[in-house]
Amino acid sequence: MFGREKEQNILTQRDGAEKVIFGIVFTIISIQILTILIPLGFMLMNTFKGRMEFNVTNLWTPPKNWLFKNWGESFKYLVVGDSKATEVSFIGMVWNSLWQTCVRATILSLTPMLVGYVYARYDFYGKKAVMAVHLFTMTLPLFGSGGAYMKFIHDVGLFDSPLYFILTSWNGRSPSVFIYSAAFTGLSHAYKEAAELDGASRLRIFFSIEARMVAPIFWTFFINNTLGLWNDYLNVLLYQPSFTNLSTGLYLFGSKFEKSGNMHTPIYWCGLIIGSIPPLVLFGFSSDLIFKNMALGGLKG
Amino acid sequence: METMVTKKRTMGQAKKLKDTIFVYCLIALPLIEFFTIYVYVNIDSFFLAFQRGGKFAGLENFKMLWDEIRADNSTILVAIKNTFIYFGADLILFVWSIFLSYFFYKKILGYKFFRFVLYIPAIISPVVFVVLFKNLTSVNGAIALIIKNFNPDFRMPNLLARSETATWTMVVYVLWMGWTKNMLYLGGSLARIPLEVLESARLDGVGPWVELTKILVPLLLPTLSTLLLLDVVGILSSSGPILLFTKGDYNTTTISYWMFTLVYNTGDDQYVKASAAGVCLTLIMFPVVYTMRWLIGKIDSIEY
Repeated sequence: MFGREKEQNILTQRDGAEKVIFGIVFTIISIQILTILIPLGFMLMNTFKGRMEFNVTNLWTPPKNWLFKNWGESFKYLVVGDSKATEVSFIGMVWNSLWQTCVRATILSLTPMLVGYVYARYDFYGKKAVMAVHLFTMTLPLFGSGGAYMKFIHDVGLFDSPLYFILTSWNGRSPSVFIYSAAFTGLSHAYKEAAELDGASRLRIFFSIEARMVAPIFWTFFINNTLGLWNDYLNVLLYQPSFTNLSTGLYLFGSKFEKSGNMHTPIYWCGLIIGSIPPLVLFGFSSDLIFKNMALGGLKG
Repeated sequence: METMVTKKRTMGQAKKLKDTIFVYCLIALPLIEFFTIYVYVNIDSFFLAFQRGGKFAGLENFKMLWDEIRADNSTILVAIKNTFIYFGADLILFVWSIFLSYFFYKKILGYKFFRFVLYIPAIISPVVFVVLFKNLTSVNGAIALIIKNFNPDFRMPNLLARSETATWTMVVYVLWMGWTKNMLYLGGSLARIPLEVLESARLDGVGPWVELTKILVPLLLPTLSTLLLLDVVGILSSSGPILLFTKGDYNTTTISYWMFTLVYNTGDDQYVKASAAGVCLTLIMFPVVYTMRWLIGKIDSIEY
């Protein structure tokens, strides 16, 4: 087995020519990083400008007076909706983003675990057929069902209903099922058998023992799903117009004022930055977990 | 003896039956989701393709589509062309992500910080970067100002409001923001390759190019082929953030955006068009995807 130091040496020791190549790549990546960070920094700086000042100065000019109040104003200014009845405030959008993301991320991370578990741990009637259909549908290139899906959502009363987020998230067809399945297959049967001897029910064995042993995988998927769902604007735009989340709301707000040119851009940008803080913080704390645990076809349990 | 065997078999069958009941209870909701949202919706979509106004309409919807394709300035043809342009950009990012993953795997100086920053576009709302990009590339935007410093006569065209430049400007955006495509999977797969392989290559005096192309890429083939297959399956979904940029104006629409416009704030008459187009696209993509699957099946997977 390799020690950590030896591993470090193999991956980091470079000879003369290698050093040059790595130097060039380092420069290329640094330039790319700067093209992301510099505009973001200037975006942040411009949030402190007044409306008129923003319109007459360019992005690179610092504000004359730093208007910190813009950040507080964004909570009042950023409101979407065609009428008072359908209006959603900025706080309302944040709340919608929170509950929609939590509900969907939990279900979307749990469902593949359930399916992966039964594939790995149980020999049941119809197992081969279920698995064959699963594999087949994963690569089946079906297109154009958007119309039929919209019709279905209307027919069953899920259009503009919070139940939509709960009932449509039980998707057990994702490739992550096989990642869970591989993890459960790798677990020792000893705990399960001991629990069976103690008379524990199948459900208890799953939730109290086996699911806990693959918890790192669950959290990796949960964080990944959370990051993706926080920014999801299309689902809300298409199927849940009354439950505007932050991503959809900021898009709607921007496109409403874009044509009229009547927008307080610094305050709008405050909203965009505030909406970016939760995923940034979550990613900052969990990026190591994600990078360590994720690998196609096998996650370290 | 025979009774014992029969008893044991009966007990085994009873256990399997109980297991089966438990399993189907546990996956009841995913099964319901599968039969409704996947099976029912796709079957309904197929039948919708042959309906109009709720009645059987034969091939009318397909004729309508064909007429739209043959029309001057056909939106569908523009959408097909743009979709393949975005797929090309996807392929460029696919290859680039292999290189980038390699340098991160080899712990290039500052790799943790680089990785974090490069992921920022993937974790915060695309609305933020689209707003920023629009501002940077606008007529009086930040890029125009920088160029004017060197050339005062320079006049920046409105890149996103001209048919000749709008799609390519968005492709630049996709290439700018998409550096981390597949990197999560590739990084994970590289981490699982035994270091002994690299150590023996180093002893043989192998350089980085050979190390990557002759050693690591062959070891990554199972992962790469799966990712490529998924890319091909999603070829017709290739697109940029059209809704956020141009809403399909200036010949920027793609197949997936065109499908979106048929569903967003429309009615049954547009749904049937989406379904008819879906049937055609599925028929085209079926042989492509299954040929690709067959080819991928021929790749020997390497155990390590």
